[in-house]
Amino acid sequence: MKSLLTAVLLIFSACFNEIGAHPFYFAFAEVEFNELNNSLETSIIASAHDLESLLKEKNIISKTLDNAKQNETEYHAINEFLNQHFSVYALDSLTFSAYDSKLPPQSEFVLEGFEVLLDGNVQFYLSTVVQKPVHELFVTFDLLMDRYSDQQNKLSFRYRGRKFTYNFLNATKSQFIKLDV
Amino acid sequence: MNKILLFLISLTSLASFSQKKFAQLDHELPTANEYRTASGAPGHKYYQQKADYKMSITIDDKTQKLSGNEIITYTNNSPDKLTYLWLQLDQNLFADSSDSKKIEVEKMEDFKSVGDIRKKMFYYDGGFKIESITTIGGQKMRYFINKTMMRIDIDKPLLPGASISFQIKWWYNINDRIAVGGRSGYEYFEDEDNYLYTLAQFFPRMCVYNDVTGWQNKQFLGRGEFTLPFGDYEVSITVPSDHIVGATGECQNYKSVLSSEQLKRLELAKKATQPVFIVNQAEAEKTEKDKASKTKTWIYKAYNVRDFAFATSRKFIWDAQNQPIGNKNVLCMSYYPKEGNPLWEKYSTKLVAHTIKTYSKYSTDYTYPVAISVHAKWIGMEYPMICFNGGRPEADGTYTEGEKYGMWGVIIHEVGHNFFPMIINSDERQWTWMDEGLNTFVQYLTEQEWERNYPSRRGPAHLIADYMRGDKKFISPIMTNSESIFQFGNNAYGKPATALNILRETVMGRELFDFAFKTYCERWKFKHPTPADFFRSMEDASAVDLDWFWRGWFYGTDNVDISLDDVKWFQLNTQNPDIEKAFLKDQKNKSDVHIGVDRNKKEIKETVNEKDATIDDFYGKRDIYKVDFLDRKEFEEFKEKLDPKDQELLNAKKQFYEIQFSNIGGLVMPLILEFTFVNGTKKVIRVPVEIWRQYEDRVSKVFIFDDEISSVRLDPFLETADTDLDNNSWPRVEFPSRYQLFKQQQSKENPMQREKRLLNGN
Repeated sequence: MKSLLTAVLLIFSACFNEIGAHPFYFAFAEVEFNELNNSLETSIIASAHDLESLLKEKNIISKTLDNAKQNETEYHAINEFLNQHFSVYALDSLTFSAYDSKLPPQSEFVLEGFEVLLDGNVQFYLSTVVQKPVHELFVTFDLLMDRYSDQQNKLSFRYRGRKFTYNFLNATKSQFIKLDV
Repeated sequence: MNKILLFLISLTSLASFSQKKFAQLDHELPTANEYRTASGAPGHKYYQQKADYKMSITIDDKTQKLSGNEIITYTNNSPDKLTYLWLQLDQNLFADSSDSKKIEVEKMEDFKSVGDIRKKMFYYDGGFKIESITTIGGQKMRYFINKTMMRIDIDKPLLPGASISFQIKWWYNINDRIAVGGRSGYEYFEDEDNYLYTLAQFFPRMCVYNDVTGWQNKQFLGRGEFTLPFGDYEVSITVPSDHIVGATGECQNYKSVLSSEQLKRLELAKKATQPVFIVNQAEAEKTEKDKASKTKTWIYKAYNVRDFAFATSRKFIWDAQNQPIGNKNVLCMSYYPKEGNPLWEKYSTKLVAHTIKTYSKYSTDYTYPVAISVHAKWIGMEYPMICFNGGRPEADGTYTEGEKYGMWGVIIHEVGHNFFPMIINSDERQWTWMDEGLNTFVQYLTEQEWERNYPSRRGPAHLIADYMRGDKKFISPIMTNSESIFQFGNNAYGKPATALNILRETVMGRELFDFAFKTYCERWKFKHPTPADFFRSMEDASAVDLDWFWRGWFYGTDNVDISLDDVKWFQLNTQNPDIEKAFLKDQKNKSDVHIGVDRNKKEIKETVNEKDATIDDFYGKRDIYKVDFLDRKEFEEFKEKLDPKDQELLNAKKQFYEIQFSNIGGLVMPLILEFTFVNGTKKVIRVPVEIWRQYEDRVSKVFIFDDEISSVRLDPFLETADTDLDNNSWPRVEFPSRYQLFKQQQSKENPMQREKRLLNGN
C-alpha cells in the first residue's frame, strides 16, 4: 500500500482545471482484427489540446505533438504512454478464466504514426501482432482518465464485417471483447 | 374468428408502439400559460426582474486582491411579493465550504503519485470575504451564506413593481488561473514579474427570479454556468496607472486615462475597417518593464446586460476596428500581451468583427456598442461584450496550424456567446446546451463563412457518430442538467449543434430553418427562454412537426443506424406474348442447371424419346415459349380494354425496386438515397422521416425508374450521423477503417518535403 503512495514524482500543475468549463473528455478507438496477419489495427482519436497538455506535464513531450513527430525520443515515449493507457491482452480459452486470472503478456502496440488534425483532435495509428488462437481480448482504455475524472472513452471493434462498441469510464476502465460471437 | 382477433391485437399493439417515436411532447413540455405561450413566444404577462449595479472595484497588483463596493438596485417586476433575495457568490467555488471538490468521485489510484497528492491537497484561500451588507441608509441587513448562494432577508416584502437598493462590501484573493484553474483570475509572467488579470464573477450577483424556477438558486458546482437577470451597470475600476483596461460596456472617461495620442488612435479605430493600434507592441513592451506606483480609475457604463467582466494589465497591446451592424457601429477590440503575437494582432479583432456580423445575420442584431476579445492562456470564457480566449504561439513566435485554428475557433465561439446566452438569456445553470449547443451551431456557420471548408470540430453530422454509438447507459440525453452530463462537450456542445445542423440541412431545409431560428432569437432577445420556448418556436414558425426530432435527439439517447437491408428488382408484365414469352425463355436459358443435366448431355448420347419419335405426345412436342394466334388475340383484347395512358405505361419498360430498411440504432431519420444507374447517371431521392411513423423498426419502399440501377447508397452526403456506414450500400460496400486509410496514404515525407522534391524535379 505504502509503495503505491510513493510512486513517481510528477511536476505540480493545474489543480482545479475541471472547475472551468471544459468541453472535451473523450477518446475514441477503432480496432480491427486483421486475420490475414493476425494483427490488431488500431486508431485512437483524442483532444490534441488535452493530450498535449498531459504529455507536457508528464515530461513526455517538450513542445507540441507536431514537434514530437520529429523527435525520436519523444515519439517513442508517446508510444510507451499509449501502451500504458491502451493495453490489450489476447486471450485464448486456456490462458485466462475466472478462476485463474493470470494474464498473458500484453500485446505491445507499435505507433506507426499520428496526425494532429486541424479540428483540434489528434489521431494515432497503431498495430500489434497477437498470438493465435485468440478467443477474447482484454482491453484497458483509460487514456486521459487520470487527468479528467469525466473522461469517457469508446472503442469500436470491427471483426468479420461486424462492429461492436464498448464504453470505458473511470469506473470501468477495462472490458472483455469476445471474438467468437 | 381467432385469426381476426389476433390480427386486431397485433394492429393495436403496433399502433401503440409506433406512438413512441412520433408521440407529441405533451408530457415533456410544461403547459403553456400567460407568461409563455404554446407558440413558443413570450406571453402577454411575461415579466423579468431587473438588477442594476453601481460598483467601485480596486485591484491590488502587489497582493492580487480584489476589493469591491456595490449598490444593487433590484426591481421586482413579478406579480409576487418577495420576502428575501438570493445572490450568487461564485467565488465561493474556491472556498473550503465548496461542494465542488467534495463531490468528485475518487479512487486510491487517483493518489498514485506525489504530484497527484499535492494536487488533491492543494489549498488556496479563495472565496468572497463579505465585509458588510447594509441598506442605503447604512443599517445592517441580515444575510445567510449557503455555500455559493447568499440569502438577504428584507424587513418588508418587496411588492410587485417595487425596487430595493442595498450595499455590499467585499474582497477576495484573486486565483492564479494557471495553478488553480477557473474561468477568471490572473496569469503571472515570472520573467518580468507582471500580471494579466481577466476578472469575472468578481461581485455578488443577483439570482434570477421568474415564472419557471422561482429563485434560480441551484448551487454553483463548477460546470453549470450562470443564470443572471438583465440590468444596467456603472463600474469604476481602479488599477495601477500603467494598466490598460478592457471591460463590458463603454468607458466614460477615456480622456482621463488615455494619452492624447491614444485618444487620437481610438477615434481613428472607430471608423476603421481594419484593426488600428491604440497601444502597439513596442509601447506595451516598454510599459511592462516599469511598474507604476500610482493608480487610475476607469469608469464604465453598460446597459441591459446580464453581467460585467473586465481585463487589466500593463502588458496589453490594444487594437480596434469598426463593424456596422444594422444602423449601429460596433467597436470591435482586442487586448493581448506580446505572448499572443503574431497570431493575435493578425486575427483577433477581424474575427470579432466577422463573428458579430455573421451571428447577427442568423440570430438577432448585435446591439451593444463594443465587442472585445482578450487573450488569456488556455481558456475560452464569455461575458457580455467581452471574452477571454486562448491561442498562444510558442515562445519563439511560431505556431502550428492546429493552434491557429484553435485560436480562431475559440474566439468565434466566445464572441458568439454574446448572443447565446448574453442576449438570448437562457438558464445556463440548468441547461448547458441552450447556450453552448446553439452557440456551437452558429459558430459552425460562422467558421464556414470565414474560410471555405473550415475544419470545424463540431457541426457536420458525421462528426458526432463516434459519440452516439455504443452503450446508452453512459450517454445522457441533451435534456439533462448541466452537472449530470456524461461527456460534457459532445453532449452539450456537439450533439445539439449537430442536431440543429441536421434540421437545417436535411429535415427543414435552410429557408424554413433560418426563419424559425431567427424567430426564436428575435422573440427571446433580452429575455429568459426555456427549452420549451425554443422547441415550440421552431415548430410554430415553420409548420414542421418536430416533436419526433426533439424526442429522439434531445430527450433520447438512441443513435442513427439505418440499414439498407435488401433490394428486390421487378419489371412490369406487358402482357405482350412476343415480349413476355421471349423474356421467360431468356430467363429459363439463364437459370442454373443441376450438374447431372450437364453431364448427362455429354454421357447419354441419345434418349429414348430422341430416338423414337412416337414417344413424344402433345406435351412432349409443344414449345411453351412459342407465340401463337390465340396469344396474340388475347393480347389484342387486353389492349382494347386499356386506355392509351395505361398502354404507354405498360410499354415504358419501367424498373421497380423494392428496398427494405431496418432501424438498428433506434433514432428515426429521413431516408436519403442516391441511386446510380447502369448508364452511369445518378439520382437522389429524399424520403421524409414520417415513413417510420407506424413501423419504426422496419420499412420498405418501392422506387420506379426508367433505367436499371447498378447501386444504391443510403445517406450519401453524411447528413444523418449514421453510426454504421457499412450497412448503407447495395451492393454492400465496407468502408475502410481510419487505420487502413492511414496506411493507404502513408508517406515518410511531409507535404513540404514533397513540394521541394517536386520543385527539384525528382
